[in-house]
Amino acid sequence: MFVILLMFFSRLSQNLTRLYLDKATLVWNGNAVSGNDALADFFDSLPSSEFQVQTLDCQPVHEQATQGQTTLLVVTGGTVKFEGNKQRFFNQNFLLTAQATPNNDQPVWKIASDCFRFQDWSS
Amino acid sequence: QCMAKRFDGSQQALDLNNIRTDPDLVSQNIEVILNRKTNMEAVINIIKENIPELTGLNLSNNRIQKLDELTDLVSKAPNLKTLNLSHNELKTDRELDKVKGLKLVELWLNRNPLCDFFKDQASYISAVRQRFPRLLKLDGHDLPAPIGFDVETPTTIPPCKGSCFGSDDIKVLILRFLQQYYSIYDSGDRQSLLDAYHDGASLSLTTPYSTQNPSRSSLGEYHKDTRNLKRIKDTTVRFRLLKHTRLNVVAFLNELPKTQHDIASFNVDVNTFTNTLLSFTVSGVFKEVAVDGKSRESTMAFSRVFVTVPAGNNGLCIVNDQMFIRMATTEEIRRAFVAPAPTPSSSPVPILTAPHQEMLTAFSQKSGMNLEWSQKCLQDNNWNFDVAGQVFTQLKADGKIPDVAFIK
Repeated sequence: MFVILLMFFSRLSQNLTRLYLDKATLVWNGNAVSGNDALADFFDSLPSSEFQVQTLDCQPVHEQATQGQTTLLVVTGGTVKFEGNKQRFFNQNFLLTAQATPNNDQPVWKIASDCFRFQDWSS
Repeated sequence: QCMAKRFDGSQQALDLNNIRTDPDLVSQNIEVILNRKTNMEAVINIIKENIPELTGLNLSNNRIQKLDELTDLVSKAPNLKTLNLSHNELKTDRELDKVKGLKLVELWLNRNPLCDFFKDQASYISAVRQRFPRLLKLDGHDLPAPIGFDVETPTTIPPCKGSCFGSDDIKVLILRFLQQYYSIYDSGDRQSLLDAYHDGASLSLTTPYSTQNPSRSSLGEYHKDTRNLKRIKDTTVRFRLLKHTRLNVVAFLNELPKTQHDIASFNVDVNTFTNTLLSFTVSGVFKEVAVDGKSRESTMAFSRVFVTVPAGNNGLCIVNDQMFIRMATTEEIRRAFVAPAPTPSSSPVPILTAPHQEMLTAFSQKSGMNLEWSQKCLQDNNWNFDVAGQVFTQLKADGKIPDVAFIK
């Protein structure tokens, strides 16, 4: 799981969209983005960034909500600096769901939803 | 003349390697010592005036300690792409800041004291690349191509917006849920929250990592149970901190300090909804209420993720609950718990007759709505108290009345 996070927070934005389910939604400071193409465009529009994850927590999501599909709730917080902008605190949470891969035996985690907000988003 | 010899016109490169020992100069008894400011300045000036189109410069083996004099090259020799500073005496990577405007593609820095500072190759490369993002070759080694954006990197971020509900139905559903949940949560006894949670519910909380003594901060009560997997590696502790089953969840919640939430300040982002799952993130502020009258009230901010399943009667049942709690900022404190200004009406407000005034006061008292909303309800129903009352009760049962209506 940490591998995903590290990948996510590095500058490899081309690989980012591969982490998401096709139907995943991202809500970024109130902006809803859905679908791989829209996600790719959105990530491309963001300046380069440096993240520092300071807190991390996770819970297995109850199967009644997921109809048996293994899902994790991951909640993180820390600081981010987007180029040209001041450093800000953020909170972000993901629902990660295990997906079987056609060629591989090993299932992979995919992001089913992503919610990101600056702590001071309204200023 | 010496420099002319060392200038390779076809490559636009100037090789000043170990210039001190250059036979031409030595034979003329001219000593060019590049680690001396005046000498270096002279060389740079010659470059500026004669070969500003320079693309490669070799300054190796010259005992150079500082790069101050090279700063001018950034503007005067903008085509400079290759720079060889190896075998010198540069002590820290901060020297590179003096020339970081150069769009270097190839750089040689080996055999400088600064290289020993880095504990591994990756951090060395990273530090160099911070100054020269387009660098492809360092110390003779190819670097993996930098993944960047097209020439112009954006620096504007998309504007931040408020709540993102996804649909009005979900908005109503969630707002009603939050209204009910927090009125119990703030009531002083959270026991009846048992009804809000699934038997197999989980809850955990995190607080920001702080180097200060945690028990002394106002977050002390919350710090005790913070579940930050970056800091806590022991699996037993990790297990203990995740409250599981609704009895444990509510027992834990009951131990937390008494609160008063500013529901009007709530922001809600809906992540996902399927027919079995509705997950949303609520953020806002709350006050810790002084129970004994002595302790100071602190204002805190939170971000809370609820994962819910549908529960009979158009309700929600919590299966996962994750809270992040921190101190509120001064800006948040200033804006908190302020009643929103009534929206100015475009039509002139008619002056109420005495009986209508009385009715209004009574209606406001009975319904719990503020005067503005009570008046609207009465007006919409022709000042018929009973009819207005029925309409109000029906709308309230349907969850169609927004929270702002009740804020006095």
